[in-house]
Amino acid sequence: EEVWKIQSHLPTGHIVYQAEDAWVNNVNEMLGGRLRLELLPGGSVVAASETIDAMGYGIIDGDITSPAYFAGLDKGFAMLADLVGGYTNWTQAFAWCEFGGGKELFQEVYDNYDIHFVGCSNAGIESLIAKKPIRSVADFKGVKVRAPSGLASEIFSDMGAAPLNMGMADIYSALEKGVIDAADASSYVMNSAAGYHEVAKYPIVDFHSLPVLSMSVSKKKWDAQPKDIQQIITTAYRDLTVQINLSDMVSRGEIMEKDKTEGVEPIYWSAEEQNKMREIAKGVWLEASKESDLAHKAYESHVNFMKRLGLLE
Amino acid sequence: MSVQYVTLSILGAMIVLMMLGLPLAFVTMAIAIVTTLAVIGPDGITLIAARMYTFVMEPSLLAVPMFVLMAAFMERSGVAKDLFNAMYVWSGRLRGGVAIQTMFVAVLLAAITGIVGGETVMLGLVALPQLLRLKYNKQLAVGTIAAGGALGTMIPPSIVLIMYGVTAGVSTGELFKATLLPGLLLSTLYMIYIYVLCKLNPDHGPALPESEVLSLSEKLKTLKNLIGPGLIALWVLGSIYGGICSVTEAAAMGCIATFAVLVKRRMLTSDSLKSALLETLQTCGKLFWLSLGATALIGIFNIMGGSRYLSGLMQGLPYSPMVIVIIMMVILAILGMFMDWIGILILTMPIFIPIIKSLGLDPVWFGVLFCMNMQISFISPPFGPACFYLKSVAPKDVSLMDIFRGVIPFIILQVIALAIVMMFPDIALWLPSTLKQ
Amino acid sequence: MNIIRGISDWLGKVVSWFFLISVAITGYEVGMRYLLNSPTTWVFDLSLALSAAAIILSGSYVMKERDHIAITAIQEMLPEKWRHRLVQLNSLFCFVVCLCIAWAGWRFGMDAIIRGESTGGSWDVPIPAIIKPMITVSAVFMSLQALVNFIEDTFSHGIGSKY
Ligand code: NA
Ligand code: NA
Repeated sequence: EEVWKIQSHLPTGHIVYQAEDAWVNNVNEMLGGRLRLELLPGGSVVAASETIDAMGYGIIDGDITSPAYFAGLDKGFAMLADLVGGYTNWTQAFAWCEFGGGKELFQEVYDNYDIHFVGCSNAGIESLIAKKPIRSVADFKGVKVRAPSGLASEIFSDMGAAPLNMGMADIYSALEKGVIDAADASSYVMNSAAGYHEVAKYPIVDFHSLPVLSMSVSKKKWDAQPKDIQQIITTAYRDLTVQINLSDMVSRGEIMEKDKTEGVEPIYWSAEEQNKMREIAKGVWLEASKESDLAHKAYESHVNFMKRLGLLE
Repeated sequence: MSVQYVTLSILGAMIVLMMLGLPLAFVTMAIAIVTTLAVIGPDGITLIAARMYTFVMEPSLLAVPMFVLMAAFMERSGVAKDLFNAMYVWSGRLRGGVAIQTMFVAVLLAAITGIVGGETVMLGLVALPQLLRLKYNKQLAVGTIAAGGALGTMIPPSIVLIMYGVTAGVSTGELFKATLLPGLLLSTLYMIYIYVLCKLNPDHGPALPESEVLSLSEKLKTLKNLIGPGLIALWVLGSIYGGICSVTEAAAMGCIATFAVLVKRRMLTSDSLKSALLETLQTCGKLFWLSLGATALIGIFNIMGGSRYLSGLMQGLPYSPMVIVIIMMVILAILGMFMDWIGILILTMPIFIPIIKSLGLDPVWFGVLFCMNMQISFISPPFGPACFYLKSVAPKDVSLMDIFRGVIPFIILQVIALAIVMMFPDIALWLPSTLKQ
Repeated sequence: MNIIRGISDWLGKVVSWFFLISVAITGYEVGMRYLLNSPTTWVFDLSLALSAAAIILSGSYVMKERDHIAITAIQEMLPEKWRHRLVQLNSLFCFVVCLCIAWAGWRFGMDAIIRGESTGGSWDVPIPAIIKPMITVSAVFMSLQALVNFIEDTFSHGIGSKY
């Protein structure tokens, strides 16, 4: 019996990991024992940034991850996979991947590493946690915000904030003590599970970044499978996207109601402010697009698609 | 090759090679290499390097060398010695008094740093010679210091809890609040034990000789020695709680403060600086290399489905939640005899935490239990890092066996404290829930 | 042999300064952020990289000091002759394991260099391309030092592991 070891980028406690785990069980049933997928938690074999190499060395067979982790290999991955300030909901990002040239672009770059790109997914929109209400671009002025180095921190910086990097372990007490005013960490549901809502009462919901998740498999392993098995996995992966996002929507609503009783005030940005931020972000994207061939292609692809959707002029 | 068979072979090989006296870092590394070659083949060998690289680039561990360096500076600037001396004169005619004072100093140091190694070394250098000079029982003296050093992880800030928080997805702040009372409970138990033991066996902990008992006014004079350490503690804790910097950065701020004291006291020489840095390198080097071996082994164990196998074993148990927690604690304690806490955390927590959550138990409470258990692992033989640290700074006539014999009563107390917090979760959970309201 | 010992010693002394630099720049970052509200983009990555480099490269110094942690309780109970054999075995064992680590790090490090792997962040510097190959470099020095330890153990009695 052939087994594929697929490493996720998430820990076992993460709801998206649990969705992936349930999904793997379903796929295995569909495969009827001809092939079996086995999901491994984030970091359990190699770090998230090392999965491409690990597939090449034959250590694992595939990954379900955020390709933004590969920015060290090519800065273009950052723009391809985590366009900060871009899409406002998962259907837009998913549509870009399926119909806007996203998946073709992914496959083009993965060809360099002998990897087959299965498809895109999303893990719910990220929520920026904040200690004070940030309702507009102007409110970002002087805000000390924890952000991963790269596109995110450059966009925050251009909006007048003071972005800084720190480990995930430090976020809670840094927020609590006021070392930082805001943090770019995870989705609303996950932020709440980590307890950030206890120390930062004004989360910005529904806008700032929407990371793409992707599944990929070593090309050698993929090509050795018959067409029907390839098709089962590809089609099923699209279903995972729907499952993750629907459950994120439902549980976010429930958790937010509970958090409100603890004094949390969710902040929603107006379409006008979102557009303002997108214009600033576009400037940063344009700068970043000069850094590599892939970055340039990713920029063109996203911007053209956003124009099609009416998100950009 | 079934997972079960491989797991047993790995354990067996580890025990045999360890008992031969081979360095643990290379024992685990060798087993990881052999297993990788057998399971994946020669191409997979890069896994070892990838695991090593990821481990050293973990941001949460950046605080470790900084806290160790801070301890090295504190030791050279005489700050730790001042702190101890100031407390020492107050112990007066109390039997076992100096050992109790040592425990008191250990708690204060634990509130400044989170590094068991640094704290044990500091206490070993400062307090051990005094205790031995005053004819304290050798085993009581070393036991007090090893157990006191291990407290570093129970009183916040605590690296063990930081790492647990990251792994379990619970807030570090909650964990810090939850661990405070159990930490104080533990240190109180230690002090009571020392007091009762010395009351029953006066020769275990003699009172200060008449010549060293000071008058009240003389005692008050020594208080000024507390200003230096007090200011450093204030600076470190103030920079965290005052919203100036993160816990990791606070370690750097602590280093800068102790460095400043070194300069102020004109004790900064090129030699003292070089030796402090080299000592930090050596301490961190042996600690991290140990973990590098463990992390390599865990990687290959996970790829074979090892953690899935273990979690299957655990979940199949038809017992009540409390019994499952007890079984987990026993597993952790046994692993703690042979491995360092980071290795144990990487290996077990991805398995245990989902089970704890599915049983409806509080992961914050479980984090405190984990931390208490890892605190046992620091001193439990045969692999007890705090004992090794103490040995490296103790006088020649203190053998590793002396230390192992000395820590046994304290291990019993640790187990008792662990059982108490297991039976009464409120000891851990009361403070965080009260502060929330 | 003295050359190898010298290298281990020198390397240890040099990289131990990395910790101090790491502390100093972290202090600088806190100052810049708290006093001027302008955090830096480079301190976090650089201090992490310095600390990681120091830890990887510390191996041969610790090996020279014979300070890698081991449990020698059983060894100490054995008669002198057997003990001596075990100490020799110890050095040979470390030699072989370190060679394997060097091998394990080879392709990992070379790929990082060839691709010029970088942090991929705002301060885009080739930190992975520098740190990854250090595993092999350090392991080579460690295996040489283990060999020196073995020769010392063979030709002079009485020198053994520390505990
Ligand atoms: Na502490
Ligand atoms: Na132990």
